[in-house]
Formats: sequence, C-alpha cells, structure tokens
Amino acid sequence: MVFVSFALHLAVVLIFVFGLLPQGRRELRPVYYIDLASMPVADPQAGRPDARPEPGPKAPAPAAVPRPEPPKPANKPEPKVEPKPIPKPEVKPPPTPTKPAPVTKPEPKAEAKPVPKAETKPAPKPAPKTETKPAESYQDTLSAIDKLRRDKEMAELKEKLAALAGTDGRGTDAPLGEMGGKGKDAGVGHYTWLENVIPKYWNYSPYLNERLDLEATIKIFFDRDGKLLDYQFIKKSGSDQFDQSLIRAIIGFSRDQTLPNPPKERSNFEVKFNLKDMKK
Amino acid sequence: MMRLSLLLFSLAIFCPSLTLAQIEIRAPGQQTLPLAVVPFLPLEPGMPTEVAREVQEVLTGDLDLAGLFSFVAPAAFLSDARRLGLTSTEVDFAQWRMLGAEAVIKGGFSVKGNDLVLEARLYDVVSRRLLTGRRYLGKVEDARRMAHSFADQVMKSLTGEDGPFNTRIAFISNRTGHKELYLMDVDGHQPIRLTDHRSIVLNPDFSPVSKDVIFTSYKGGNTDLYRKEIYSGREAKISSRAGLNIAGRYRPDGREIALTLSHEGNSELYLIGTDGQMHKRLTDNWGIDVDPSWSTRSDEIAFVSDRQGNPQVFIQDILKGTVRRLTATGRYNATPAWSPKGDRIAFSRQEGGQFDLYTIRPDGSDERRLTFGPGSKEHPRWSPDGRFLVYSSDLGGKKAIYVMRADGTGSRRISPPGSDCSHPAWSGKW
Amino acid sequence: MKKLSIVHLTLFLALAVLLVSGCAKKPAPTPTAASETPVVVSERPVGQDVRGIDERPVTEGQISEQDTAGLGMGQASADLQPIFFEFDQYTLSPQARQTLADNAAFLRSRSTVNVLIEGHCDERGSDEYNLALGERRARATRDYLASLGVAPERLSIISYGEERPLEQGSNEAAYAKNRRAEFRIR
Repeated sequence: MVFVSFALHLAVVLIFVFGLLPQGRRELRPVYYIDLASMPVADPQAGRPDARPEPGPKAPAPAAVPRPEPPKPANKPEPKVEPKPIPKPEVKPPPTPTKPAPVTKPEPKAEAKPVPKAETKPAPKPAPKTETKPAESYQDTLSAIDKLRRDKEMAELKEKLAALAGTDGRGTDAPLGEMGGKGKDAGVGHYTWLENVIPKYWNYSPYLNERLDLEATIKIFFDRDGKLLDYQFIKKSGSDQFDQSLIRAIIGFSRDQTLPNPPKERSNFEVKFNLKDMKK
Repeated sequence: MMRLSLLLFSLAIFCPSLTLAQIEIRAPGQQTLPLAVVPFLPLEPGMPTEVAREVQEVLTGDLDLAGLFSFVAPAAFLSDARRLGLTSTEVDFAQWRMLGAEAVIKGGFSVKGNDLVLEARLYDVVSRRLLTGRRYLGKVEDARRMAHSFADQVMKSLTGEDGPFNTRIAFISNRTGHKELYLMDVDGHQPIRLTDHRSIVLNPDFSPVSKDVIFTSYKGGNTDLYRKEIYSGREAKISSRAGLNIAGRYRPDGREIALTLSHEGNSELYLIGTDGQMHKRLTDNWGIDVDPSWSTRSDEIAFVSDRQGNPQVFIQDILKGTVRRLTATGRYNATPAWSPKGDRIAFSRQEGGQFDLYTIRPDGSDERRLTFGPGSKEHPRWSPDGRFLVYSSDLGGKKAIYVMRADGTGSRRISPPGSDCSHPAWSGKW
Repeated sequence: MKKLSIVHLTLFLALAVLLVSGCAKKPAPTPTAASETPVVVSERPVGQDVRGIDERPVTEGQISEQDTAGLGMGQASADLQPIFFEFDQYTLSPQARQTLADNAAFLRSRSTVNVLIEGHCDERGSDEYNLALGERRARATRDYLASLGVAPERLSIISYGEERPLEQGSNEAAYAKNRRAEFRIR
C-alpha cells in the first residue's frame, strides 16, 4: 500500500514537472511533425490533441496493433505505474513506421524514461518512391543520379528537422494524427499523405504571375491499387501558368507515386491549390 | 467509401464549419522551376564551340535575372546532355526528371563561314513535350542576340508574356572624356557609342515606336533637345528654346514629348511635337518642375516639383490640369518612372546624402523600398514588360548601370567598368 | 592625349567593322519546317545591327583636340569672382551680394564686355532638378547684376547642374565650392 501510494505521488509529481510543461519535451515533436508525411494507414489514429480518444481500442497499446510486430510488445512504459495516475493511456507507442510519433500526450514519456522507442520498425515500405524505371544502358547513370537526389533529399530533411527543432509554437500546434482517425493505427490517413506529398511535385514561381489570389481545385481519381488514373479541374484559377503548374504537379506525382495502403476500391480526392502560404 | 463517410462524419463532429473533405495545398513545394540549360551542340562535327559558350552565357544570365528558375546543372555523366535532341522523341526525359528538372533547354548550331544557324528548344520534362522551338539564321556575331531572343521566347512560353531581353539600353558614359550617348544589350554586351558631341549629353529616352532616341546636349552652347535615328545615324535638334530643354519623355504612343523648358522664365513642363513644335504648357507654378513620366494611358504625368518647399513627386492630369502630390514621406524625392503596366511608379529618394529606389502605387499607397546598402541609386527606368528596372549606382566609386527585378531582388551590374555610366533608358521591343 | 587618341582610333575602327558587317547582313528568314510543328523561324531579323556614330573618318588631331565650341567656355575672368549658395537654395547671401557689387562695378567700367553666367550645383540631388536649380542661381545672379545697373543684354546665363564641379569629392567642403555661379567673359 505504501508502495502504491508512493508510486502515485511520484507519478503526480512527475506529471507536474514534465507532463504539464509540454514545451519541455519539444524536441520530440518536430520528429513527429515531419513524419506525418510518411505512411498512410488504413485507419489512422485519433487526431488532434483535443480529440477524445475513442473509448474502444485504447489502453494497452500493443493489443491494438493489428500488425505483426513481434519486437514491439515489450514496450510497456513502466510496469508499475499503470494504475490510475494516467487517466488516459497514451494512445499507442508501438507500431510507428518510421518515427516515435504516435504519442498524443506528452505525459507518457514523462515517466517513461526507459521508453524503448520504436525506431527499429520493420517499416512496411522503406521508400515511398516506386522506382520502377526500366533498366537500360544508362542504368548506372540513373542510379548515380538517384543517389545524388537521395543525398539531396536527406540534406533537405535534416535541414527541415533542424529548422523545426528551433521553432516554438509550430510544433505544438501541429495536428497530431488524423482528424478522422479511429486511433487504431499509427500513422496518417490518405488526406494527410496527399497533402504532404503533392506539394513536392508542385513548382510555381511568383514571377509567373503577379496575382497571389489564385486558386484552383482539381479532383484526382485513384484506382483500387492506388494508382492515379485521372484528374479533372473542378475550378480553374484563371491563370494558365498557375493551372499548368498544377497539371505538371499532378503528372509528376502520378509518375512517381501510388497511394500507399490503397483502400482496395476506387477513390478520389478534391485538392484545392492556392498561394495563401507562399512567401514572396 | 466507408472510409470517406467515416471521415466526413468525424469531420462534422470535430470541425463543424468544414463542410467538405478537401485537401488544401496552400503553397507550392518549390518557388522556382528547376530548369536545365544544356550546352548547345554543333549540328555537324568540327564546329567552333565559342557559339555554344556565348549562347549558354546569355541564356543563363537572362533566365537567372527572370527569377523564375533554379538551374539544374546537367551532370557530366548524363548521356542525354550529349544528344542533340531537337524533337521531343529524341529526348530522354526520364534522365532529366531524375535530376529534378522540370524544363530543359537544348539546342544546336552550325557555322558556315560567317553564317550561323541556331536551333533552340524548350521542353517540358514532366509532360514530355516541346513548349517552344526556334531556328535563327544570321551571322556568327549575332549569336548573343539570337540567345536573347530565345530567352524572350522562353518567357513567353512559360508566362504568356514576352521577355525584355532582346532590347537595348541607352546610357551616358564619359569614357571618351566627354559625356556621350551609348547603346548596349541588356546584359551590357556590345556597347556602341551613338554621339560625338564632345560636350555634355544627358538623359536619353527611347521612342516607344521607332528606333529613335531623344536626349539633351550642350553641343550648341545651350541645353538643347536632340533626336537621333539609331539606324540611319541622322540627328536633329528639336528644341533649342532659350534656357533649359531637358528631361524629354516620349508619350507612350511616341507622338508627343513632355519636357522641361525655361524659356518663359521658370522651369515648367510642356508638351511638344516630335518636330519640336509647341503643343501645350502643362504647369504654371513658381517652383521647379522637372522629370516628367507618362502614365500608361497618357492621361497623367508624374513629375518632380519643389512647389511645396522641397523636391517631391506630383501627378498632374493632363486634360483637367489638376495636380496631386504622390510622395508623402521623405525630404527629397525625384526621378519618377511610371511602370509600363501602370500599376506602380518607381522613384529615387535621397536620405543621408544617398539615393535609394522605391516604388509606390499611383494613388500614393503601398510604398516599398527596393534598394539598400551603400551606393547612391538613381534614375530608375522600367523594362518594356515591367518586370525589371535599370538604374545607376555609384557603389564602388564610379557610377555604373545595374538591372534588377521590379521587387528589388537580383540586382547586377551590367555596364562595362572603367568610366562613369549613368542615365539609363530601356528601349521598347526591338 | 596621345593615349586617348589611340583609344579613340581603335573604337572607331571597331565601329567601322561593325558597321560594315551590319550593313552587309540581310537575315533571310528561311521558313524551314522542322520536324515538330511549333518550331517557328525567327520572325525578327535577329542580325540587324545598329548604325553607329558618324561614318566619316575622323583624324587623330580632331579627336584629341578638345572641342570647346559647344561648351560656352570663354575665359574665366579673374576680375569677376564667383559667388556661392546654400544647399538647394538660390537666394543671394550678403557675402554674395558684396561680391556681385564688385563684379557690377567692374562690368560698368568695361561696357564692351559681355558675360556668361554659369549656374552650378553640388553632386547631391537629382541631375534634372539640379539643372533647373543651377539655372535659378544663374538667373538670380543676372537679375541682381542688372539691378546694380549692368545692362541685361550683356548678361547671358546657362546651367550646368552638377555636370561641372569645381572640386571633385563627396564632402561638404567640395559641395560648398560647387554650389556656385561663375562668370565667363565672352
């Protein structure tokens, strides 16, 4: 009893010290933020920090993992504290494809010093790119170029990480998880995935057109394998240059990417493009 | 489908204002178009490579100034860079895509004696098609002009609006010991002296419709206004009224000239014909009125006046004669230049003994400072497409001509070193 | 001077070459149908060259000799002292009025002498505005001399703006010397 009481008190203190000071652990957030772009899952976890975790599949994280992740289960934060100090069990520490992301609340890590972070994921897909280029006489050339590009991407990623680590408010406001998420899977949904991947293919210079109030909406159609079949302008921007840049983005995207974890049925999405966040 | 409705459902719960599940992308991933400019290849073996070097230099220089592009260096191992590829079927777009290029410029040339044929192509790497292609026929020494011309073409193809690169810039230089009028390309190459007054030549302006320049010269012992036909070399004195005949500016249709005269005792603005005939007196004020600049629609003129104490920019309605003050701040504002699109007026402001360049809307709002740092920047003039400004700066001692984008970025010196160069003017389409 | 002439000569030779080649050229746009339709032949005569300055051969002597005819420079008179102005001003200071009184006395004693009054500015300010300002200085000077009894028709004016500084340099001492009206006997 005494022991339990002590543990509870300790937990409360720890929560106060760490848990209620979300800023204290802010280095972790950036990592998560970036990873939003990575793997969509069939059923993304419950979303924003303010969202109530679904009553259903919650607490014992490992349990909820539909994936065959054998190495993970050992990932109970700490064996002792489960009782009550933690009213909401962290949604799930386990099956993160590439990052320690899924933690919705800062508390878990507060007490969980020994958290066995999940970086050693046997990630479902190592690379989002489906490099299926036909090997030709210039195969060597291609791989050389590819390496160049990967190096560049790595460098960019690192840069972004560094930048994020330096920002304050940004990390805290970032949505954690997917709004429509049910909290069963770690990772993000297709919406978030598209939101993060499509811009990589969108090049648009403010010097193309003086107007910054341009906006166009395109519907994109995927087949059951996640391959982009077609696109259709729902609304054009009025600027040929702007619309052309979107077509190039969609075509470029469709060459490189398929919807990961395709929903096994045809799907479509409406994508609205504008320049609201462009810094000139 | 189920997923979607679930999603919509939860959206409705958590975010009631959101009615439609839609992805919004609020900024492009990159704000430049990755462009590869491949060195042009000889159409037949054994041709001099000098042409390729010049074409490369001009294209990258012009397109860099445009600000639209980031340049993707064609890696040495890229086999497609060694292939001519004058049709889209001959271009291996996959290679360029791997490099991240979204557009690629390729081309070839052939030299026979002094004759040059230049083939140039712009391809869209993503959609794998030819965007624009041109064949140029001329002399070897025209290589740069051809390349400028193609740079204009690239701009037109990508932005819908011609570039200003195959135009000329007039300026004043004292390299002979006298201030004379010169002409050069927009990158400062091929400067040619146009006058031999051995006096003081000042303040040129291009006719927007013909290859004429007007300027002021002291050649006749007075500050007279001259017109020179560039191709024929013919020159005429068109206004030699007593006193000042300065700062002549062609109306946008080229049929009338606004200028400052002082033959009636005070410096005032007037309109004269291209033959020098008096049309109209514009201002009637005790102050100094100089530096007229026409609005795009020719209905207003921006000018400098000290009628309220110190030099400020005013705008006068030509028909009604009404005057309003444009610049509200600064103690010394001068040399207004109305943009060809009409949306902004560039001017120079003196502060702390140095001029810097600004732009402002014609209604006096949204003033923006374009230049910073050391050097006095004066005499801004617009490129005919309104994308760029040319001006003079004395950064580094001697005055030199610079160009930059209309937002103040990308500035670069273009005039040859060794003498003072000032009073630039940008020609219309050449 | 000699060096200058060589430079001139080379420039003229280069120009001449340019001219010759420029005139010879007639860029014939041959409409060649390239394999892909959008290929268009240059619509503009790419090679057209600008006619440079006068084609007359200029001799070395002509070039090196400074042509002063157009400059309105007579001899600066030691008897007529220049006067100086404040920045962006054309009003006459008491000292300037004193100088002008002396100058007027001299001019009244030499009734055959005609004078060109030159108005000058320092290098600050815009060139065109300074041309107008220089003229105001010259005009104020002429009017004052006339008020002291010098016949106005003997006095002519010209403004050089900031084009002919007395002293080079970007400092107040140089500026002060350059904001002036000078007198030349013609």
